[in-house]
Amino acid sequence: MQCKEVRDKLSRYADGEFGGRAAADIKHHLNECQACRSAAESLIALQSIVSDSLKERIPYPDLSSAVMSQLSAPKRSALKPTWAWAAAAAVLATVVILAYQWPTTSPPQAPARVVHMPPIQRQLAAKQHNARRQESAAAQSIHRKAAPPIVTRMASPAHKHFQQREAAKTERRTASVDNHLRISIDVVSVASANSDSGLRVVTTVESGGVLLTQVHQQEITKQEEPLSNAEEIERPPLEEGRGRFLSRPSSSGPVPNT
Amino acid sequence: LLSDEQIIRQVLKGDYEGYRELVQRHQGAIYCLAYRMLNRAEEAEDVVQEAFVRAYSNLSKFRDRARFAAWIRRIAVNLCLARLPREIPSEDVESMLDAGMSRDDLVQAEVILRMERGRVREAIAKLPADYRTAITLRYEEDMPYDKIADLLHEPVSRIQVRMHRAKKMLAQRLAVMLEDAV
Repeated sequence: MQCKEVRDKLSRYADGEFGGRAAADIKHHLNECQACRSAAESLIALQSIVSDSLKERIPYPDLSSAVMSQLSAPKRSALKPTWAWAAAAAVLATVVILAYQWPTTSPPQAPARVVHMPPIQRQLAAKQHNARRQESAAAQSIHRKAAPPIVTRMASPAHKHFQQREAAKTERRTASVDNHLRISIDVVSVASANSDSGLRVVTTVESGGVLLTQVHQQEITKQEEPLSNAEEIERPPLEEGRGRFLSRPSSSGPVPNT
Repeated sequence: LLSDEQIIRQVLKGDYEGYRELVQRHQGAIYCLAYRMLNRAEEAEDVVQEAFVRAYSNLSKFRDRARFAAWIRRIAVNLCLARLPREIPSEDVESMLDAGMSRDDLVQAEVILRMERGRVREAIAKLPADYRTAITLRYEEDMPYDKIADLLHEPVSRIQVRMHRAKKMLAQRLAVMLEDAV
């Protein structure tokens, strides 16, 4: 092996790039040639210095939090549409369920339903109603605790004065569909000096503490006394803890129309 | 202590916070590599963050999980290369090939240079980017020539020439530095 050939390969040899026969040939030449051996030692010394200086760790900042914050952003945004759709679907389903399970709901400001009866029929109906009411008074008192069981919609424009009345009693029913979705139903009983009364029902749907929707319903009502020019509507009580209405056997059916 | 492979398996199962351990375990080596190649602390920090974010995005596709360190290093080197200007050595390389230091010079220099590693690193930092990259990958990362060639998408023969010239240039600069020191 000639010196020029060895010198050309010396850098790679010093870096351990040759093995087997090639490395043995170079090593053999270096044992015999002082000049090439000196050049090889110089290279190895240089590499050792460079390697040592580079291996020395330099101070570095902890970037783990910066990295993790960049990872969470795309993950959250990727999940966002799914969650939004799930929440929207849950709200829609809730509204539909409530609409079906609350037979007396009516839109805000909707005029009250009125049944007109001749005077003699009204008197007859009132007598029949009073008799039934006395028989079922005990059963009704149980349901009054949850919500007024019987309300009578008025034909008068009393609903215009609804907002002037003071809330006398508020009952709240809360149901949690899962860890995030929470439905609250507030039933506010109101009363006024002229004996008119009413109910305001506020259905609130929240997700993770954020208000998603709130539905306001109100009804102008008057207690049973006296029954006149009216139609009885039975309101089932709320089921404790689930936020939905239970059907119950009718204790006082609708006033006959004849 | 969990291995890289075990941590990656947990992260892929949904233990998102487990990735923090991987970052803390390897960020020092990646930062040093990036800093040596780029010579700028801010850019090195950017490379570290970008490398780990990219690795996370492709973690499910990464098969050889036991070799996470090599994989993240490869990502970092590619990011550094994209940031490096394609410098052309300003000095006459051919003339420097004959300007190597003698053995006696280097034996004397070794003692001095080992005490002044900062100045050696400074000399390396002042090498042209291509030379600096090759030197860093070889002596900091202990990569053989074929791996460097593979990483830089260049033939091994070109890496051999570059390494040879980089060493010569470095030797010359260290010699000048030593003369100043003495």
